[in-house]
Amino acid sequence: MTAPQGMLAPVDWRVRPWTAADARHLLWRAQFGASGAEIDRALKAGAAASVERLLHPTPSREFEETSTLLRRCAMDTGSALDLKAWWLHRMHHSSHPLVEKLTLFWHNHFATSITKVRSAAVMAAQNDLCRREALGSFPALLHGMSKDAAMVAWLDGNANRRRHANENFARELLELFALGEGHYTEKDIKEAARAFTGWHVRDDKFWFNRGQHDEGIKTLFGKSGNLDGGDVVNLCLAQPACPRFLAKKLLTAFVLPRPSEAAVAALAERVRELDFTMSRVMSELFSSELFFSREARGSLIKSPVDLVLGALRALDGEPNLQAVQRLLALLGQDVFAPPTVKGWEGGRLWVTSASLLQRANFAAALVGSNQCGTIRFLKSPRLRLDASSAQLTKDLAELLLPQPLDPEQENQLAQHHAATKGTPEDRLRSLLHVMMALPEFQQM
Amino acid sequence: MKTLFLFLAALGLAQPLAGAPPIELPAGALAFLEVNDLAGQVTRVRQSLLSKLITQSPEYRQALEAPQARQLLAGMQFAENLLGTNLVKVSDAMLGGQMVLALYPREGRKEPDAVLALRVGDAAVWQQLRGRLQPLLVLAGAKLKRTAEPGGVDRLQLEDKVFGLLRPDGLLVASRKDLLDSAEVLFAGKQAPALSASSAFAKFGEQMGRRHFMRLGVDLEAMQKRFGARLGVPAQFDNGGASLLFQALAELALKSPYLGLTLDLDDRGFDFAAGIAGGPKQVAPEFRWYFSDPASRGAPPLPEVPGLIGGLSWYVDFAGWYRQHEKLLTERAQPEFDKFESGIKTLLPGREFAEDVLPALGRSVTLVAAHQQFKHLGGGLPAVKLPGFALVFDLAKPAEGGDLFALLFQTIATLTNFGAAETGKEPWVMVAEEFEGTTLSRMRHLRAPKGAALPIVYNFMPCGAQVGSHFIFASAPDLCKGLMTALKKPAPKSANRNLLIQLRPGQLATLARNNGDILKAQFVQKGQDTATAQRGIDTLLQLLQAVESLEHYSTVGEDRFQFRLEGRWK
Repeated sequence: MTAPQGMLAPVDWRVRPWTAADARHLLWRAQFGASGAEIDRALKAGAAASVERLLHPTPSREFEETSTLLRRCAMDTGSALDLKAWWLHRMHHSSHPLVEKLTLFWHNHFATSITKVRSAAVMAAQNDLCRREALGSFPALLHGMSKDAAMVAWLDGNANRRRHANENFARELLELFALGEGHYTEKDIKEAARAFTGWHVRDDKFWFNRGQHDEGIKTLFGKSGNLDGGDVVNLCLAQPACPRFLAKKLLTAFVLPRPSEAAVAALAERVRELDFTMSRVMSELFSSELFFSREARGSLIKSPVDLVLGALRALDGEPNLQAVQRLLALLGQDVFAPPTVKGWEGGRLWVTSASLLQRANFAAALVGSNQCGTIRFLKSPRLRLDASSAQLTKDLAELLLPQPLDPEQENQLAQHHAATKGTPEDRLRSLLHVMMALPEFQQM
Repeated sequence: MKTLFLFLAALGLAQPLAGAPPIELPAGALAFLEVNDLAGQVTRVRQSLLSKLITQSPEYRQALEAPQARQLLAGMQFAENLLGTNLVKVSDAMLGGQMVLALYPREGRKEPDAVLALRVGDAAVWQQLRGRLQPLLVLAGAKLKRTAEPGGVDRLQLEDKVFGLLRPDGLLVASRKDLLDSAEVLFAGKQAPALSASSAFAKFGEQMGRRHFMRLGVDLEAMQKRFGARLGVPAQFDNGGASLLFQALAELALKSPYLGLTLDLDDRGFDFAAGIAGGPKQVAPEFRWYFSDPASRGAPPLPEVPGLIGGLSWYVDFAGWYRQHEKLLTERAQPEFDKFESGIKTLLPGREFAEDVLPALGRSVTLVAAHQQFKHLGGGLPAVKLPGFALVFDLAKPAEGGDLFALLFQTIATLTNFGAAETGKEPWVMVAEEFEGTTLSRMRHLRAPKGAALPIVYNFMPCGAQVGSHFIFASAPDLCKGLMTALKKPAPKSANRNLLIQLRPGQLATLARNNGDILKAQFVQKGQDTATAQRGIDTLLQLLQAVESLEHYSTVGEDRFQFRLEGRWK
């Protein structure tokens, strides 16, 4: 197997130093925010060890016990709100945050909403599949999704019958899950839909309804035979468009909002070379020159989940999961309920005039009340409340912002802190609020 | 919760004292508040098991560590240093007697004048306190005039705004000199026109009693003279629910000379009452649907069913109210009635609500919640164990009403099966069962559910049965059967209650314990760790177990209407 080359070649950390800014960049992209302690630990461990730790962390028994409790609650009540709280708890507390980040990525890729599926258990099972293969095999994930009860319910699989094929899943498989527009024909969709006839759900589980399966000859991408759904998935995975489609989505989500054609082609080649094994793809991506390039820093607009959970993590916060899920819905990212089969488009669309105001309100609520959760940062021994305004501003900017502030902006913030009346804690809260309302804080 | 703990923490620092003779204040007040032996009441509450549970709970101790509590404790320490005695003695002295605050109208001014009178519980400590407070009075400077009078009386005047009198047995403060003078006469036990003799407050005392831990009286006639005859109550309501619940009561209150509230506390519970004068005959006929006939039984007591958690029993002539909705409610509210009638037609095909349903309705409805055993699930158990709920309707025409409700029950069952088909849930079929010689209609799942963690929906198994002039709608067969048995027994003696709400906190604790993990998860969702969440649940369970009962009821008399809220704890 060849090693990644060019922009995907690993950064040579012997040539340039591994800094706190690099550590923060890696952690904000690979998990939901980073606390000062986590940045320090990554800085000490070095780049390679930090990526390794993200891929293979030490499990936490306490977290698993609490997660089990919250999941059981969601299953017992069947409530979408409890289900969302369970996953948000995992995102914030999991000892394997990269898996949760990728689970969210796959949830958006295979966007399915509980508003139509109407079963917390079935949605949780789909979420488990995303989590199980988050760093596993994309082919296994794609095959799993084609038989997933939530997906079948979401895309009307039970209406896909021998004499009357329903094209919903076949169309989305080709357009949104595997290949992207322009890499298939309407005829391909019809043939693929025939292959999925009889792939139904019964008692919340996949059920092959043999009597409704079309056993005739189908032709897809030049191959003919009595194809079934599994054959269609395999044929999609074999298409050159498949790794390209996946590479572009990964780059857009984790590296750059508008990756170059060359970057997409390079990553697609690595995806194929690594046989769609996500742990190896992500390991190479998070070690690459492209990932740590200047243009990648601060280039992504934080999704609501990144913004809210990221701020809580950065400030050593404990979220109020009920409040956070309401807030996320308000900010446009209601987990388990993406707006359409295309998921959340994200990027610049995360920020509208209304959501920008909501984001600023969130900052005020977080530092000024316990509405969204409690933050321990203000009591942290790392924090020196008696430091000068300039020093505090610099320290906070290093913790929270993706790039250094320009000196004039930094000076203005320091002046704001100096001019604020009240206790040292009140003044710090005010500085935090202003900093978190900056456009720079909306980026990562 | 935190505020409650802080309040109790503050109360916890006080100690008891003996009672005090009644204080009289001048006549002409708009309202008054009277508190008797506050220190003694606090002591009795502190000695209760409930109070001990609260003060021993981690949340209480945590509340004492809060910055506000620390500030409070520091402030109390400062006050003790200043007064040269502990605040327990101060509270004994000051709060062991009687305190009355009254508000008086003043011509040309919106804000009322006030008089506060306090008769202390311990004159010796009070004397000592007065000595300690002298330096503070000096600090007030020239704005405060002080005149010492024979008999240990100090007369104080702060500009022309506050007038005070410090006496050996208490103090008087007023915002007007003439009020202070009148109050002084009465305080000394001399004859003068007194507040308690005014017609409104005399009626209050006669109907609700004169000796309570706390009394609040409002002279509604005086208020009407000052703020208008209807006191802001609209002639027509714009919300059906509000009209049904409050409109007739508001009309009766407008005819009443007073509105009175009383509160009594002891180591085993509390009794809160609110009352007005007047009965159903005092209001116009269009408002009489709310009130039970004082001579009849009114709302029935809650049926005694196994595992009863609580419930509500309400006397209301719903048909009487509904027929007059065009008179009682604004034009804007009327379309809601049309929508309601259209909705009812879906559930009762071919029937007209006003023509067919209303005449069949009786004058009471009962809502009951009780634990369920889930025997009907044949071994399966839902993970979340909800109580069974039931509605019992009183029927004016049992034959026609029973058929209508049976039709309604069947339509609802069919509709829920449509919903089940949409969500992939197990459908059910209707079956009839004979129980104690009466037919019970209920549902049965097409396939019996299995497992001990069934979805929440398995808490609901609709049932319907008619027992005499009652129709039962229940969500659980065992509750339905319990009600059928209870309703066949002779009705208990009349208590003439218009509305009755009962809660058995011990049963609520059982419910909470059965669903402990769900509760714990809810606490964790709010940001607590599992250990803290468990402690919170333990405290909640202990508190619920320490409360014996909570009961709210209203009674209708020929000349009075009263609400009561009673709580008993161990």
